[in-house]
Amino acid sequence: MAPQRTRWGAAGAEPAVDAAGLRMDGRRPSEIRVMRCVVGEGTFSPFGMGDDAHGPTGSAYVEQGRTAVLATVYGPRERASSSSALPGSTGALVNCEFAITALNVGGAASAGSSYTKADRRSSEMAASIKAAFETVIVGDGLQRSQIDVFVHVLQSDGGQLAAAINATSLALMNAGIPLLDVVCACTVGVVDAYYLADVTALEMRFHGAVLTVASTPSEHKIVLLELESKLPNQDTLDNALSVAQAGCQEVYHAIDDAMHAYFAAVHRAHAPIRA
Amino acid sequence: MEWRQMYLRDDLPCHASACDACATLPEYGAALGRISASVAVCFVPDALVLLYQMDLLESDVSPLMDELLLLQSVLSAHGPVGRADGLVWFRRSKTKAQAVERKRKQFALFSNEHHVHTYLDRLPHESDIEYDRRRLTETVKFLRTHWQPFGLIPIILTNSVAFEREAPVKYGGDVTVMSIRTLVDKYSKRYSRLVELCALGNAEDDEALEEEGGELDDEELLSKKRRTLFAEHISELAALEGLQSGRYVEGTFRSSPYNLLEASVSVALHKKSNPDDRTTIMLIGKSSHNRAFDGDRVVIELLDRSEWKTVSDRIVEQEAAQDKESDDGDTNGISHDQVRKDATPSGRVVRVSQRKWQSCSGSLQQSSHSGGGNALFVPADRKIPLVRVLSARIRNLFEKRLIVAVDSWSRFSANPSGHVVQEIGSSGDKNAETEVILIESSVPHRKFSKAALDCLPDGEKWAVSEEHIHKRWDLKSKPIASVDPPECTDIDDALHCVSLPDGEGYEVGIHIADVTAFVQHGSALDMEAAERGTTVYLVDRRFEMLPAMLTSNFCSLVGGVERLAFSVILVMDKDANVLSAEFGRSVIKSRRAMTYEQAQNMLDGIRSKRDHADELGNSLLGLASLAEKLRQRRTDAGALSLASPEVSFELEAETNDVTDVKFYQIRETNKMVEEFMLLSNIQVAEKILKHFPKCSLLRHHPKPTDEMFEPLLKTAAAYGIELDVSSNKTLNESLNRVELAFGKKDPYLSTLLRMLTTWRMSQAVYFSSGELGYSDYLHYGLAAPVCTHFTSPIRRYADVIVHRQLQACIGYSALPEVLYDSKHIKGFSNVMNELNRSAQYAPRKSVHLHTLMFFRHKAMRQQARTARMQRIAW
Repeated sequence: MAPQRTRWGAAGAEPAVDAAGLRMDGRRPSEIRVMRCVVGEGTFSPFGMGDDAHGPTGSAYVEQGRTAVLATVYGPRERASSSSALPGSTGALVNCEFAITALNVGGAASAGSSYTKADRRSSEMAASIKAAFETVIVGDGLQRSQIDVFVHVLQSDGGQLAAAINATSLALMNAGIPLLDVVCACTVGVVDAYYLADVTALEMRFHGAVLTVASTPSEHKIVLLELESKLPNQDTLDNALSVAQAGCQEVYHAIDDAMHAYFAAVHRAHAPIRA
Repeated sequence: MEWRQMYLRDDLPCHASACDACATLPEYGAALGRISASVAVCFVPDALVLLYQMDLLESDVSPLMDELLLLQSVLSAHGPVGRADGLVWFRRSKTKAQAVERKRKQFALFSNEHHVHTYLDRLPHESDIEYDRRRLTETVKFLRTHWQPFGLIPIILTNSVAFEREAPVKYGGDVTVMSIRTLVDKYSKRYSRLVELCALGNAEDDEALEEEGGELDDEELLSKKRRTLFAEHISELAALEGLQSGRYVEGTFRSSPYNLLEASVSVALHKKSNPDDRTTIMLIGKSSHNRAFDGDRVVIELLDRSEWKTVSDRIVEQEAAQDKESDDGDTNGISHDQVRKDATPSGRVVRVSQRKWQSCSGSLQQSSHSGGGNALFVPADRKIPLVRVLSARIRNLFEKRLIVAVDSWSRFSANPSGHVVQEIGSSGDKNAETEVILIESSVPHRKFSKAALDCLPDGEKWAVSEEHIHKRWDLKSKPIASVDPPECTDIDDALHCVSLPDGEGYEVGIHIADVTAFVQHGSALDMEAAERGTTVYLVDRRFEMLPAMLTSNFCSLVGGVERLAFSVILVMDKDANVLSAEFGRSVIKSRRAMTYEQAQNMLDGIRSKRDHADELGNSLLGLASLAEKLRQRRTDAGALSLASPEVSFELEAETNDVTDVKFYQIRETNKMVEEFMLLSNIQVAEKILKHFPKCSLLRHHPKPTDEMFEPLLKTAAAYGIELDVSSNKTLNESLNRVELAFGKKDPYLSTLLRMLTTWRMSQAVYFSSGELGYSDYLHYGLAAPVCTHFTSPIRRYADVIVHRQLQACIGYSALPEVLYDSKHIKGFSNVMNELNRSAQYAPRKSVHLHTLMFFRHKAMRQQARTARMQRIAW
């Protein structure tokens, strides 16, 4: 009798979703990883004007699973003379620098995968973050100013762009920059017929397409959409988008909680001492 | 060190129907079974049970195994099972349960590794086996308390007697562990077939000896050692070290089909410097085989030159090999000097790194039965040694065709032990023997699933509509006809030919059934067709790749009915040069479905001016004359004309008994159709290659190596003939010369040589154009620079893929994503090649079977020829 045949394609190994409907780390396909946010740590003052001497105006540290990102915001401050705004732009100029000092965990931890702000991928990420936030920052009164955002990926286990956007969102709010809405981001991996929300580096090994979506939770406006690799058809994209939107909503709850916790702490610290 | 984050959940159901606590939890995942409320006991098998006792678990001889709970930790166990095996098995059992709607088995899967109450961290220095067992017992403890309210008791089922023995002490009394042996002992009275399905064998003894040797009584150990027949296999670590240091080499064990005492392993001795230089190392004598089977992956040790042996010329059959055990390794009485002179590199197996144990068919040897419940099983495949089989009803199994699975081979026993998987029927009975052929060649002969059948069009309503005609070429007026063997119902090609108005050439149409119009990419039907790969034709039945509604009705280009087709329209000049080629979907109406014989008669009639040539006749005449020229040109280019005589049987209508056997007659019309199929295959290959240079599914036939021709040259030399095999052209010319020279006095000789040439050839195979260089695309036998399979989508799945690629070329539909991927096409080609190989095996065996049936009670005197000779036989 001939040996058991497996269908062609990825054979052996674990499936992305097992027979019980669970992913390798025990999540269901549409569940995102646990998020931990720390807001305002190391900022000069809650609503102060940050500068290099006094530290950032806003900061946030976001952990999504084992992906850890730190975002710091300086400004708004006077626009440096060298920087040129896009013609016709009415709002503030957002500068973004993106750096990975990553301890790559889980995924393909090769020498080539840790990159710094100089390389192409980092500038791409920076451009994406810049593009996402320029649409939501309220520009009135900030025409001549610039906002500098520094994003450091400290540890990477998939979904770094999404985590970076979430951290930037928090840091901007911490800095008191007026936003039209919060920006929440979530990745979705499309592997076989599964839509895996918030994919880990390990799950990226299945070489499915990865969609990163940043949207505004109250109006569900998509401010950023990035797709790595191809999707077979429109339906797949629609499905992936709706899973991503649901993921963004989850992320929003975490961000909302973090901001509430932060303001509660600030309120406690600044509350007048009652006699 | 890689570490993972794990989410432990409290919303995972226990899958017991009676459990109220879990009833409200969400159920996810693919069809999982549930444990019904009626049972009191639920078995939880461990990894080794899943690996070795598959047949027992799947059988329906007792209701004991109807409800099983599989643990996630067991399916993904490290240890000896390995992840993949467990999962493959689980998938297999699932599809099997779905496809064969026999007794419904309930396999529930409990995700204990993601469950908050049953997840366990691995302790430092804990071995795989210990960790697996701890997870298993802890989960069962949890389940026991969880199931307490409704009295369901989980019992661990294990292969290891030692585990059963130590469980109460080590893991506490609230875990019940039962070994397969205890289970069988307990229930064999009630369910007698349990014994034969269970793979008891000696695996346990081995395990006991090797793992816990210290625990056994010294006396017992000694008495076992006395009977040791084989050397112990070395550990994996030792093998790895040995392989690295170059002390051992690894290769695939190949038994000699003629002599069971001999086997060989082909290895590259100088892996780094010259990986292509392969040496064949002989393993002579059963002890040097050390329990390896044909096809196993083995680690071998090279023997010292002084111990090298000669290859014997004797044919040693199963029974003889059995007697030979004592004097194995004997060099057949050849003197010592002689041994040295023509000795070949010899070695011995030190470890079997991967078993290729499969079930095999055969029957029991009655003489080996000496009371008791066991007997020796003689496999039909001569390369497999005799297997000891245990059954409570052994007497009923004599004279029966059986499928036996090999379980283990202890080093204390001369034969491997196995168990009966299936009893097929009386040996000699045609249905039973056919069943054996199907099982051996693993031809999928189950019915189509409901999901696949749901993809079919409405059987009563479907017809070619205006909409079809609107979108396609309307070729209904063309004089199209199909030519096929008699009683052919799946007609996948039809032809037409009309003279061009200027009288200078012809328009030739090759119309192929448009299967892809019915079979959508990725549909359940498509998946199932891909799994079957090809239609398998046996003498008295066939197993189709697609449901009969398509093969013999909607796709089949039957006469007088409008059908959808994929057409290749060629404009050819009088010398059969292709001036232009167009491809497109069409609607055709075949004028007539002819047999080769009818078409031939029509041709002959017109040529001898007996009949008037109508439109159809002219079409046929044009095709025949073009085919003649095409053929000539191909032969000039070096295409081989080979012979592989096929026989056809005449069967009695009701009983299917063979009444007569003949050689299949090949007429001019056969060759004509073949020529145009080939032409369109080549045209299509060129077309898709132009559009998809990196991912076209093509078919090539590599040039045979000189070694492959050696036996042919030897045979030819025996007749004093010299063949020039330097290229396909010269070979063909030499063969033609033989035909001329010996044509009168020995007409059969050239056919014989052509047959031998065919046998020596390697098979043509599918490949992806992205994986090879252009020069490797060559089809040696057909002398075509590129070729593919386009013309039989009804019965070959590769053609379906080619149809999809061609469709994409001409802009009918986008190419599915996966068909762009050369790696995917490559994997697909490999599967197709494999399926084709096994699909060829079954018909050959079926013909063989029918031939034997026909001659069973007949004595005949016939001339025959010796085609090959062993050097010495006895």
